[in-house]
Amino acid sequence: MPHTKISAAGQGANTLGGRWSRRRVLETCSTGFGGMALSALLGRSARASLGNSAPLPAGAALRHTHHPAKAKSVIFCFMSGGVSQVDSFDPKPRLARDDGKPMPMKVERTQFNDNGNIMASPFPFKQWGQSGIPVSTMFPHIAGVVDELAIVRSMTTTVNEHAQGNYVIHTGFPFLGFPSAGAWASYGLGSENADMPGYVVLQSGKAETPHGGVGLYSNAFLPGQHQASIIKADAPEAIANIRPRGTLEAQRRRLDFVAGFDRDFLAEADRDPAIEAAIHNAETAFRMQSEVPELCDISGETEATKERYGLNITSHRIADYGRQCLLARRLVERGVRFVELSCLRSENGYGSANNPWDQHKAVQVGHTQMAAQVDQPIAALIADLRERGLLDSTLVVWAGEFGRTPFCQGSDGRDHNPQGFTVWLAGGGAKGGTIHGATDEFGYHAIENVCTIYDLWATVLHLLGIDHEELTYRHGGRDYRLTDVHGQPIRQIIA
Amino acid sequence: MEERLASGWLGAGQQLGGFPMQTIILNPLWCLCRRLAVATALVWTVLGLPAVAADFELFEARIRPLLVDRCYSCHNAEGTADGGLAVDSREGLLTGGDSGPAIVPGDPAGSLLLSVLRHEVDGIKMPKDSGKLDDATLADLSAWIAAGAPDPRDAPPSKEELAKATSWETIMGRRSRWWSFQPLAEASPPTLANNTWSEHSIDRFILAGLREQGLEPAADAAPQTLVRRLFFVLTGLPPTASDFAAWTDRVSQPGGFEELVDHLLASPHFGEQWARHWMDWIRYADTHGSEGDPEIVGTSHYRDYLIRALNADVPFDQLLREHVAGDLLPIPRFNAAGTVNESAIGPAHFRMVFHGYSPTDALDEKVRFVDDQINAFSKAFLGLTVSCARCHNHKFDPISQADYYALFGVLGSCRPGRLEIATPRLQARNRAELGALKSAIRQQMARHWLEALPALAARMEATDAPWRTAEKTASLLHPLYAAEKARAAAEGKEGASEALLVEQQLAKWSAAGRARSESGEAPALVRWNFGTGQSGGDDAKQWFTSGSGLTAPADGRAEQLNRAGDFSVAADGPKAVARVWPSSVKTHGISTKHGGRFTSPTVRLDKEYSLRVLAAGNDGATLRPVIQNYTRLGRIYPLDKLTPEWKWYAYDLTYWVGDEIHVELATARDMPLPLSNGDRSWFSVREAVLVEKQQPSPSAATDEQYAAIFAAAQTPQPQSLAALRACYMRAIEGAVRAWLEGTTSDAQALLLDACLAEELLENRIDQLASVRPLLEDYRRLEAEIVSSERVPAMEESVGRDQPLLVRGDHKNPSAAVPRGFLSVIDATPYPPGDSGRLQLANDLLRPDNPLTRRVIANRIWHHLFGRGLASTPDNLGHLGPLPSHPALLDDLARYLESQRWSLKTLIRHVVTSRTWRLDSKAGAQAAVIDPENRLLSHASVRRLEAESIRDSLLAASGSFDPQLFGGMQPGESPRRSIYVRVARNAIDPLLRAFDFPEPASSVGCRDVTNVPAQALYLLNDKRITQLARMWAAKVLATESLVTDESRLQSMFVAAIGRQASPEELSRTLTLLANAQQEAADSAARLAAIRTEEQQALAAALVEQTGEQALADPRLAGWTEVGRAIVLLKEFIYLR
Repeated sequence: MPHTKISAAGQGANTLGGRWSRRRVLETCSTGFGGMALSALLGRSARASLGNSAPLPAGAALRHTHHPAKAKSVIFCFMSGGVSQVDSFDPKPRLARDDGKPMPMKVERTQFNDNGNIMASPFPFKQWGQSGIPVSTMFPHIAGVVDELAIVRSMTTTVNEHAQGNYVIHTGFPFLGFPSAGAWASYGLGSENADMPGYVVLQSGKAETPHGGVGLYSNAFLPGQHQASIIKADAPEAIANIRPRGTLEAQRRRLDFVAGFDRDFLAEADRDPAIEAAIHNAETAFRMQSEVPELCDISGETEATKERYGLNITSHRIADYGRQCLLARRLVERGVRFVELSCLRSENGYGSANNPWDQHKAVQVGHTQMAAQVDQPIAALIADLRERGLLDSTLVVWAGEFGRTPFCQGSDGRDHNPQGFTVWLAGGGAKGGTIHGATDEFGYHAIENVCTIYDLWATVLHLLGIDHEELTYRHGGRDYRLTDVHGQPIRQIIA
Repeated sequence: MEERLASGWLGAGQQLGGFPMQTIILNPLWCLCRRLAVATALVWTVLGLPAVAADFELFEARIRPLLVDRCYSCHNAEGTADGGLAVDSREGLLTGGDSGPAIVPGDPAGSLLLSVLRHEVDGIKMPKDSGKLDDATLADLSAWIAAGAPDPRDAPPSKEELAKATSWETIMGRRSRWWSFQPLAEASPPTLANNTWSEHSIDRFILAGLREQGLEPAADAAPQTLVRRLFFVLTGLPPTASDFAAWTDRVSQPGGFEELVDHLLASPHFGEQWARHWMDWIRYADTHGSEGDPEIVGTSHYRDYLIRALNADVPFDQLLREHVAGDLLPIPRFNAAGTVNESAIGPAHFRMVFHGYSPTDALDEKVRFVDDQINAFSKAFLGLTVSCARCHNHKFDPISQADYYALFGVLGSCRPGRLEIATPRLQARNRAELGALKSAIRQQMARHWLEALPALAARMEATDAPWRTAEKTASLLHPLYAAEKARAAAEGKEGASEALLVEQQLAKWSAAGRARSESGEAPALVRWNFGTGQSGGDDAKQWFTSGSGLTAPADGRAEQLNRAGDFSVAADGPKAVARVWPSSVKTHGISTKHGGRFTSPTVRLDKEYSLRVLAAGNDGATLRPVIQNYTRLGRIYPLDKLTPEWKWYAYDLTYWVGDEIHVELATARDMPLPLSNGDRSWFSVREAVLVEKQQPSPSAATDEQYAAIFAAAQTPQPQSLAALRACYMRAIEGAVRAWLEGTTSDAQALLLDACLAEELLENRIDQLASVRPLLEDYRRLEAEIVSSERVPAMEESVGRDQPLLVRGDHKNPSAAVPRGFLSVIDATPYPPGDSGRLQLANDLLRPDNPLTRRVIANRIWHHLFGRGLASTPDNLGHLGPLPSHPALLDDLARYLESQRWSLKTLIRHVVTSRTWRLDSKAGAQAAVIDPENRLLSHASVRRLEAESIRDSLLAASGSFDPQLFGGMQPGESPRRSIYVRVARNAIDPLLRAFDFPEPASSVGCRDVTNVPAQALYLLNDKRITQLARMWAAKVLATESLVTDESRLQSMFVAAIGRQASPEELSRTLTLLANAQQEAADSAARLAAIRTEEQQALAAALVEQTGEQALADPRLAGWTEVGRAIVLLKEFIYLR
């Protein structure tokens, strides 16, 4: 019963998972941190491989990439709350000129409806690197690696509030119930490391899940192994229940005892493959108990490395974020497909723990602190990946759920702006030192090469070797994809 | 896939009763294999296709419909031939278009059409704008080309033919031949020769299917397996040790199994188990999700309603009616005590939508949450993906885009609301008596006041008269105070006579009166006046009311309660009358325990308006403009908590120009998303107006209390302060008399209200001997009123047809689509009036709608066997695979209806079949011929659902709290999992790890995945150790268990429903001994370390071994056994 025939039945996991006898399929599956990949196989997109695409590990929905992949892994630096484009990567001299004047155009609805006049950026811009790309003083370290960045200044999104914006940028849909980009990547490409999850979300310090909750990291209707594993980078129990209670010997004895019973049960249950997988799964869990602590143990990293990532900085937020960046590198080294990093709250900015960039007031203070938190660690990550030869195969994506208004909210804040904002990509086949698209002279609306979140993910999937229109999953009477029925790769930023 | 039916199904459909169908379509994979193998004739013959020339059979059955449906509209010879290609004739295909011939007969690999459809050609992906064709269809095409592409189409169709062939009517007609749209077959179970196995009708269908494939049923399951299986499937809980002892032998006796079935169907836990299934179907959630994830207050009433209804075996048709229109049923269903209107709870599931937080595009949000309702509802009860037709006609099923908007109109016409679920009898409790008492109280109070007026007049002139201290400007007496002050200040000055001061005061009152009437005439979009004085109270009738405080009781007193001069009696405290009211709509004419929601008609804001509302209220009563039915709050979704004094509330609605709004006043628990939970709350409203934004604000609401005094000062005009005071007295006397006679004006009511507030009229119970007995009666009766529970509800306003949204874009509305049902069943529009929910409920159940019956029969089967006869319970449309036993499915659907829609009877019917009782061991043949076990030659092994795993942990360890019903519980609770809170943003991690579904859409068939989080939980979670320790302690404390062997056996029975074999027992004893020894060793080591004062080492040891284990090694050993047993796969799998 080859897989293509299974998919010919047109079924997804919802109809088959665990219910159909699946023994032969299962025999080909790997079990791992990511668990049984059965359902992924069943939902496999049947498109035939193309000549020079790379074979993918067992458990991937695709047997081969659709075209040669540039990137193997993605690191998603999610700037929860929304970074102001006009204060970071999209300089607008007009704002300084018209500072304090009313917007000369229609002002779109904002979430707080407390719209003031045009507000000049408090952050001076300067040109950096070979490319001469302007970056504001918010990001002095990232400015240092600007030649690695492909900057999209014309990003747009469809909603104007955090939770729904978060859902859109994670899943393409503005509400709960759809798989996250990381889950799609894990589903399509599988995991290079059978004992590691395909999709990891890192948290550290007091970082919290953004508004919308863990549904942002959901597998939704994709098989369960593609949901993100949240690793708390600095907690004694990095993953829930990863610490054995009692000695490992006692645990081993218990598992061996259980194995005896399970063998008999399996024989009696006609060697049911699901039971077999569950037995295997317990062993994976046992191994993880040592592997996860090893992953999180950075004592083997050199002092220079730690220094570089900011781990020795007294501001614990920089150190905490730096730890996530360092672990992201270690995860990528171990073959994890998709790693998402979580910002921590600023010391006294106005965003909350769920949306730390959300400076509705005192944008200068808040953005200064938030930028400081991520600037050195992210720059270090890019440089470190480059030096280790990993940057070419690792795509770093930097984005918030929307941007901020060029006019002020109240006296010194900025409200949400979904009409035009900046994201950037680095490494993994992105064309460094480029700027794509543009907003109007106020940085308000994207007007040139307008891009959507779908375009962003179509680009990311493209760099991973996937045709975004061909990675589908049938659910509820429809073939779903990360890009819904939209999107195209942004060719201009692909190297 | 589609045309497997187009010409095929009709023939087969007629044979449903004869059942050959069920084996042919056994398995879509097989179908594919067979079709490939035999190319054409054989399969189709068996399928019973109408006679078509053999050569063209495949073309007619599969290829022509594909071309017509998916290709003709863009590739025809009639004018649209994209890429130069027309596929509507043989010639067209062979000649091809700009890229050359589309097909090469006999050479699938060389046929461009096939490559394009397979998405192998870069830049061309056909069909356009929809996913790739499924593999079966592509295989058909390939087989056809390989067979030489026989094609009878000598010429392209004429323009008319083409239009007809590609019209929606034609497509829909063809699609409506799909099996699930056919009438239920009237099939009797097959009669089988030599059937010594079972005469049960289900078994005859199953056996026939097995024999068709040369299979035999497996052996019957062992009694202990059956007991465990039946307990879990019917109640979701494992049998206890005593259940196990009581039933294991009995189920092997004649009638014993049936007895256990009845026993479990009667268990209160039956309702819990099946309510949870139902909750999957309608995506039950306790919160709305998104930022803030607020609670949908009252969801647990719905959950408990389901449990009660399923336990009471309320007929399915009744339950379904209640789900769609329970609040509208002419004869609602009450609970046995007659206190709860059960039917009214049903529609609460419509409110379990995902809500974004403070969206700037409110219409987008509305369209999305109505879509959510349609999606969940249509999958749950129709087994159709109606939501797929939001942007275009359905790609596969006979559902037009118009059908979608016909349903949208029905659900979108309803407002998110809240409903009191006390029965009318309870809501009307003591109302009439209290109303009568009020009349008596009024008489007595008024007489008392009239008698006391001379005393008041004297008081007004006294040196300590109350006006001498009335400093507050809002005070009724303040003008007297201010004038006196001015007089004193001007003493001896020219031109400051009392007469002038009085004149100035009268001028102020006059100006205020003018301002009042002028602001009443400012340009407005709409103006509602709820005073009986001016527009006779008709404006109130345009609004929508709900709640016992607003809906008219049987004696029609509500309007009377709205008249000026109505008053409220203080429910406690020293005062008698709480307030006197001008004419207004209010909720508390009788009691503040009565709730109410008062909402305006929907208004579209065509330009910039300001909403102004003159209202009062307290204790959490709220007022807000409701934008596009959005229920949550946010900066741009304002709300006011009302305060007791009359006040103009104002909302600038500039932001919402272009949107539709309505105005809502609600008592504390009656907002769609209530903010507080007080039993006593009230509001009163006099006016609401949408004025053009630039209009000046109306004058202060308190001005009007002087109007009666101003009136009394007209003839003769007072010339002195004493004369002004006399005007006050005349006005008060006039107001009291009017009150007594029932002719109170608004101004007089306000004057009386102010007099009470300033204690000018005696209002303390201890001063009112004649009124006191009446007041005490009133309070006693009022205290007996029970404030009703509320549920989230769908509230009727006016049924409005929804404009079709072009490509689903809410900014691109087209013509309105009449509200109605799926046109494939009945295209007749719903009559004007309300939303049409009642009609919708009836349409779901009408005899010519086969979907609903099949869907529920299949869902029940799914939960009993682990897989439905149709394996996609939420989708019986084209993308769902064909059912394995269609005739059986129809038989079950008919059986359900014939048994008065009793779900328990249907369940009993299924589980008492021999098929259900088979062992899980497959025969050798079955593993080869039917590896998926679709023919049910044996039982399929199943993993327990998340809730059952959690409940089993609690039950086995003896910490299970079997209490039913009530509010939401945290995951740590010992209550059953069905009571654990379903927070969209934070699903309980244990339940989620074991595939508890995300509440986003109907889930008829849960995933079963294996993720390490499951094993890690069972290995390491603190809870497991705790439960295991409780379990161990319980076992050790059970006196009847005297040996280790008996203790262990009791644990095995509790956890896995069987005793351990001697060999297993000996292994477990070894585990126990080792664990006890290790704990004892650790305890000894700890003692040694402590003596040596090695604190750090000691702490590490305690951390590792656990304090309790060190204190009690024996308990530690038994705890270890418990921890091991819950890790057994047998614990979480069901055979």
